Formats: sequence, C-alpha cells, structure tokens
Amino acid sequence: MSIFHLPDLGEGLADATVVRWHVQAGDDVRAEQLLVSVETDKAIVDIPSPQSGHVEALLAREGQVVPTHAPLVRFADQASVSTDAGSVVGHLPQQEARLSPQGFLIGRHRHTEARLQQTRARRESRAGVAGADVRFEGGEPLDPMRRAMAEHMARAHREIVPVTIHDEALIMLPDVRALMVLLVKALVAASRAEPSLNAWYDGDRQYRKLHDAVHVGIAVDTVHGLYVPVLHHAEQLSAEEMARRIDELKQMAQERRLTASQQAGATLTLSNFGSVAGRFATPLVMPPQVAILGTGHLCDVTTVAGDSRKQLPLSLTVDHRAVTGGEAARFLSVVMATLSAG
Amino acid sequence: MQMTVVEAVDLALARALSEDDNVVVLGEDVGRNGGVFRATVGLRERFGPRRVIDTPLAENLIAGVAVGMATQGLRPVAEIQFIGFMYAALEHLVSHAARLRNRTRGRITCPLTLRMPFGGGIHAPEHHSESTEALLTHIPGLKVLAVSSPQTAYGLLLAAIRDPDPVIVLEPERLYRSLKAEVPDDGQALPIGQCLTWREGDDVTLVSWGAAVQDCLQAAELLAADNISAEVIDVASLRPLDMATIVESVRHTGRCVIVHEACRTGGFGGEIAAQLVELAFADLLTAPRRVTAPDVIVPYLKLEPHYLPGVADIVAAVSDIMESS
Repeated sequence: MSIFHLPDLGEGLADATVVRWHVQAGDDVRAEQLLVSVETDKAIVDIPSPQSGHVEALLAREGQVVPTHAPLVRFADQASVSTDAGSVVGHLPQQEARLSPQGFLIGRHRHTEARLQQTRARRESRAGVAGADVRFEGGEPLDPMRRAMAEHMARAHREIVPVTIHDEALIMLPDVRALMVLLVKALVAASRAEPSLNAWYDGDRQYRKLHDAVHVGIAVDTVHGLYVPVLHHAEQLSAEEMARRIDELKQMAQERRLTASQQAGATLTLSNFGSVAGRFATPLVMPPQVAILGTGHLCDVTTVAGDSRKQLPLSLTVDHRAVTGGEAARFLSVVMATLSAG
Repeated sequence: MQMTVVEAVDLALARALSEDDNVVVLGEDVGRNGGVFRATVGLRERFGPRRVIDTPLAENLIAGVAVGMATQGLRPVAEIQFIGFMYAALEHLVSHAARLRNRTRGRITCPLTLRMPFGGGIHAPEHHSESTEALLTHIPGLKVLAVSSPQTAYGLLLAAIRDPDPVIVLEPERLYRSLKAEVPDDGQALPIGQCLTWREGDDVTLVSWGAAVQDCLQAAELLAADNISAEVIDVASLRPLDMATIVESVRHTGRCVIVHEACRTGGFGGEIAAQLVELAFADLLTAPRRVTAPDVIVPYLKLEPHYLPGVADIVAAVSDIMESS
C-alpha cells in the first residue's frame, strides 16, 4: 500500500480544491494517466498518476479543499516516488513523446560535394536548363568506373580556369618505353625550374601548396576505362626504376588491380594520348592539381642539319587561377629542352 | 542519461556553477523552492545561498542586479519566471546590458544570461503563454537563443553562460517535461549563430524554433506518408541568425514554410522571409509562407488550441504550396 499526497503545485500554495476525479476506487491506472483535476488560486491543474498500480481508495471528495501534502489516493502497490513538476500555474504535458535518437546537424551540413551537385541539378532542372530535353528511352546506367570519370571531369570542367599552350619538341627516340621515362624526367626538371606547376590549389579557401616531391599521375587507357596510377617520388627514381614501375602500374591498370593509394596523391599528370592518334589536345586539369601535360602522335622529321629526329607535339594545360602564363611557358620550355637533350 | 528539458537546464546550470566560481544563479524562487518549473532543483543545496540567490518578486530588480554583477566580473544567470513578465526588465536589457560594450569602447562587457520560459500549451492564465521574442531580436547587442529539446537546452545554455555578452535563452514551457532525450553531461556548448537541421528533406524547408520545432518534426513525419520530403531546421540562434544554412536549404528545396508561436505581425518569421527573398529569390519556387498565431492577445486555455499553430496547420500550409508550385 502507498499513499499519493497532493503535490506542491508551485510557489507554496496552501491548498487546492478537488474539481473532478478521473479515476475511481478499484481502477487500475498507468503512470502519467490523468488522476484528478484540482483548482488552485489561478487555474485548473490536471494531476497525473505518479505510478502504475491499483487504486484502493480516493481520499478526498469532489469539491473538497485539500491542503498541500495531504493524502489524496491510496494505491495497493508499492509506491514509486512521484515527480514534482513544479509550476504555480498551468499543466505541463508529461513525456508524451520521445525524441528521435539521431539528433541534429549543426550549421551548413549540406556543404558536401555530393549535396551541392544534387542541389545544382535540382536548380538547373527547375530553371529548365537541363533535364527534360536530354532524356531518352532505353540505355543503361553507367558502370562505377565511367560514373567516376563523368563526375571527376564535370568537376574539373566546372572548377578550373584552363589555359592550354602547344608546342613541339624534337627528340631522338630509342623506343616508346624510353619516351615515358624521358617525359617523367622532363616533368621533374621542369618542376624544379618552375615549382608553381607542381602544386595543389584549393579554390574555396584560396590556398596553394607547392610540392618538393614530384608524384606523376599517368593516364592509362584500358578496355575498362581511364585509370590514372601515380608514380610516386619520381624525383628519386633512376631511369631503370622508373621504366620498371611505369610498366608495373600500366600492367596493374590493365588488370584492374590498382589499389586506391596507387591512384592517389598525384601532383602533376601526364597523358600520352598520342600513342593512338591525335597531335594536339586540350587536356583537363584534375583539381587540386594545377597542370597536366599531354603528348600527341610522334612524327618523323628531317632537320635542316640533316639528322633524323622525331617531332613530339606537346599540350600543356594549367589552371590559370593558380598559374600565370609566364610560369606555364617557362615550364614548357624546360620540358622541351630536357626532351631534346634526351 | 535520458532527461527532460527542465532536467537538462538544471544539469547545465550545475555544470556552469561548478566550472566557474563567478557563475551566480538568481531569480524568484530559484533557491529554496527549486524554481517555478523546478529548473534549479538542488542548486542552492549544492552551491550555497551566495551563489543561488532568491530574489524578491521584481523583474526590474533582477535584471538591474544582473547587469551590475556582470559588469563587476560575475557571470549571472538570471531567471524571469515567464517571458510575459520581462517587460519591467527591458529597460535594463535594452538601455544598459545590450550597449555597455559599445558605450565603454569595449572596456566593460556584460556577460549575463537571462533564462525565460516562453510559449503556450500549458493551460496557463494571462501573461504566462507569450512568445514575444521579436521584441528582443530587434535589439542590437543582445543575443537570443531558443531551446527546442533537452539536448539544445543543455548546449545552448552553456554557450550563453560562457559568452562574453548578454544572451537571452528562451525555454518552451510545453516541452519542459514532454520530451526525453539522451543528454551527456560533457560540458559541450552548442555554437551560437548556427542553425540545427533535425531532418533532411528535398521538397520543402520547415523553419522554426522553440516548441514549434517538435511540431514541424511531427508534420514532416505526416508529410512523408504523402511522399512530401520536408527538411526541418531549428533556428536555435535567432540573433545572430544563421541565414546561410536556411538559404542553402531553400536553394535545394525551393520552398519554405516558417512556423512560430508568436503572433503574425512583426514576428521574427517576417525577418527570415524578407532575407530569403533578398538572398534566394531566384531559387524560390513560391513565396515563403508563414504559419503563426493570429494577431490577438494569447487567449485563456479553452481557446488556446485554436490560437497555437499546430501540426495540422503546418501540414495544410505545405500541402497548399506543394499544389501551387
């Protein structure tokens, strides 16, 4: 047995009048179920049951004035301590609902690339720019490889301010394998002469980071799509090591065995598109990098001096937000000089 | 630990009192009685009558003493029992607390916190159910925060107490004991001037503060059944106001419904709507919509349900703008 007493309804009110009982002797009640309405000086106050249990007896009549802390209800079960909700006036709703446990996100949580892309797409379709007119029947969704390419290229196209300069280098060339090594060497030499192209740029924060190390991303065309494995620390490698590592990376790309770390961290990119066809191009810089060198189709030429050389078309794109035209031209001139010197 | 809003307030106060000897709690009945809503239970017993001070029934005095304490190195946390009783305190808040830093060229600041229960829904008599926060958000120099849950009660109150300038913390009466949530006593304050996003959505942004946030969350649940995806943003800090988060959300959804318990004219929802039109006009598919109480004095308890904007009003407003845009 336990007794429920009229709680202090706040501010030390001396008593309250029982207006209406909502339960009867013999009822089984739940905790928080409405028990009785009482009237104080200022308002009607609904008092919930402090516990679940069996009501044995009501200890006051309707209309009776009950002093604060006087017995109100006798329960058959053991009491639990009642909650003192306070409040001189009114009735505070008691725990009707629970919050969802996941909570909230603080501030501009949407500021992720995926969210912004989604927002952009919605805005464009709203404005009638894209959407309906490019839709077609049939087709299939892109595989993950092509989807990644589409996203990376769209981002590069959107973010960077590209300038491409073209020139040709006259080279003595033993074989194609040696050409890759020579190109990497040329990039290392040019990075030493003009460090602002071997750099990363964050346009949102307007931060630039110049790198001592030269990590060359090498674009590899495969039947599965485009891969860009990275030749890390090219500046520390001998020609033999370079040739061996490049072969390894290309082989792994063809076999789709590249790990994430083998494709991360490039500070410059090299694209040898001309091994198939095409002399000049406008390669796209991949942020946060600021430069990419593309090499076109090799041609045999005979120089005025009469020696037989090959002509290698070069296309250097830089992000003009981070690189000046002069820096790009000087970089390219060092590349050409290194290539010609062999 | 799972706790109610009122318990979270008590916990944050105890934390602040134990962390900083300069923190002082004062107000009517905050000591022996534990507060009209029991938000200061146990504080006087634990920290003593010099730091948890019962004042006379005089809001003018409470605010004036708090300003004085704040200028002399203390961090007073004053309670006004209901926002409807703050008008006598406004002189001190507007003419002194808000401008002491400016007046003294930064020599004297006023790190006071003023807690006030606000809003209706507890069947109370006159003066006890008002939402006159727009009177405060109009004043340069005051910061105004609104609690919507146990977690934000704890985090916002700590932020207010630690802030070097006067901060008003509004606590919704009808949520005091109607919600429970996990609130770790980790001393982590929430940032002032950042919106909180309780639910992410794509079709409409619901913007509110105080108890209305919970109504918006319920409305979002109902709307989801109708395949309408609502984002729910809790403004949390009315001044300074984080429009960036609201604009970013509305750029995404294209629609905005602002919900507040305060009456319509001159309510803070109008400020948000105006800024949205200035900052995101091209992204709005339709005009921002307000769901508010009508322009009348808060009625007694029988008419209160008709006065307070409810879940059904929010759902109706959203359905309406979804049809027209």
